[in-house]
This record gives sequence, structure tokens and C-alpha cells, in this order.
Amino acid sequence: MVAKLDKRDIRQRVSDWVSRLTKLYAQLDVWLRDVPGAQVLRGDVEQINEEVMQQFGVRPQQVPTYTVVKGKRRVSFVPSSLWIIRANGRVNITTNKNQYMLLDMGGADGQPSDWQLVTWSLKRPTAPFDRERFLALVERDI
Amino acid sequence: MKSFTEVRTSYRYADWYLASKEAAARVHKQRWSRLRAINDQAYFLMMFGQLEDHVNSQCKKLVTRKKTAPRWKDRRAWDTFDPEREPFMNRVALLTDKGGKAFRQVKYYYEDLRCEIAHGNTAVQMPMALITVAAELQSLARALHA
Repeated sequence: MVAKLDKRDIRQRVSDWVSRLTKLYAQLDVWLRDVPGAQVLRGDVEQINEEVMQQFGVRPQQVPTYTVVKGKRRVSFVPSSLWIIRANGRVNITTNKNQYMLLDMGGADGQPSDWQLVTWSLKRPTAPFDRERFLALVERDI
Repeated sequence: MKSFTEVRTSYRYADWYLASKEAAARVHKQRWSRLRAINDQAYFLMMFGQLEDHVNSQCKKLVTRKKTAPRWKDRRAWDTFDPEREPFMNRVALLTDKGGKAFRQVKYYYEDLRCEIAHGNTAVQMPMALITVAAELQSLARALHA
């Protein structure tokens, strides 16, 4: 699969990754409107230099991060791997006490993202990352 | 799939640790990411090993049943058949239609991932959404039966 790609495809996918993250954070902004006292800190972090990028000589780009601070509580979204088997990117979510993972199960070929929060439930190990789950994370660990 | 849930739980804590290190790292993010990918692959091999064990036990059950058929005509093709001598995908074909989705999925996990990782192919050094993969392996185990 990788052998059919070229450098341009890899750059395009990285650019798409930044675009999907930007859209995710824009959605978080909308969900946060109803939360009094929540402050948003935006930043950038250098992308992990993934194996596929190394193979094609594509340099890591800056990818956006998003942190919500509410009182003593802090919830940070930091992009992790883009190339991941059975998903289309992973974002690590770090709270004061816990670590969570978001997986984009969509977002391929121009399709919209399908962000799923890993719940580790035996019956249904992921759940759609919606307003309710996001606000729960901002208020407490779930 | 007796130990599957324990393997999955162990993975959860190992990934939790590595992901928290990766997220917090300022200078060694790459290193933690690499370790996380290796962790994903190691746990994948253990999880797939559980599926292999399930396939073996189901094949044994099937062949034993066929060999004890009362009529010789029904059991003659099975009498000298030893599933342990068959390649893994042939054993899978005893449990599900070779043209079906379950067979294709097992083939992908076995040939493209399990064998490549187990034989040290460095081209397959990607991390995995292992929680999704684990759910698919459990679903496949339910589809493969004697």
C-alpha cells in the first residue's frame, strides 16, 4: 500500500490532518460556549516524524493543540500518530489525572471525520465524541 | 480466547503510560511514539495468538466430530486428515467460507500484519488502533466455529 504513494500524497495527507484537527477544535469552541469560566489555550507542536514520512523524506509539520482550562482543571488535546492501522489519526487527551484517546474512524477521501472516544467498554470500546462527552471531560474524568 | 480480556486490560495500562509520556514530552516525543507503536504490535501478536488458539481448538473439535461419524462414507475423507499439518489459512477455511468477509479479514490480519510483524518486517512499523482491532478479532472468533 505504501509503495504506491509518493511524496505529494504524504504532504497532502499531512495537510488534511491539520485541516481535520482545525475542524475538531472549531467544534470544541462551539461546545464550550455554554461553559462559564472555561479558557482555551491554543498552541502548536511539531508532528511526530512518522515512519511513512521518513520513507518519503517529508519533514514533520506543526500541528495544532487545544487546551481547556477551567479552574484547576485542565484538558489538553495533543495530536499523536496520523498513520495508524485501522484508524485515520489519533489524538491524545490528557486531563489532570487521566489519559484518553480519540480516533478518527472517518476522514478518508474527503469524507467527514468520525471522532470516536475510546471508552474501553467490552461491549462497545469506542463512542462518538459528542458535546456531552466533551463537556463531561471538561468537568470531570469519565 | 480465554486470556483475551486480560491481554486487552494489560494493553490499556501500557498504552496509558506510553501515551501520557508521549503527550507530555517536549524533546523525546518521537521516542515515546516509537515505543507506543512497538507496544501496539506486541499486544497485537498476543491478541492474534488468542485467535489462532481458538481456530486450532475449533478445527480439532470439527475433525474429531467428523472422524466419529457412524457411516464410513461420511468419515473416510477425514480419517487420515490432520489439521495440525495444514497451513493456518486452510484451518480457517474449515471454519468459514473462503469467499466470505470473515475469511478475508483473518487473511488480512494474518498475512499483512501478524506474519510481517512476527518476521521483523520493518515496513510495518505503524501504530495500531488496537482497541478497534481487538473488537474485530473478538467478532471474528465468534464467526469461526466448528
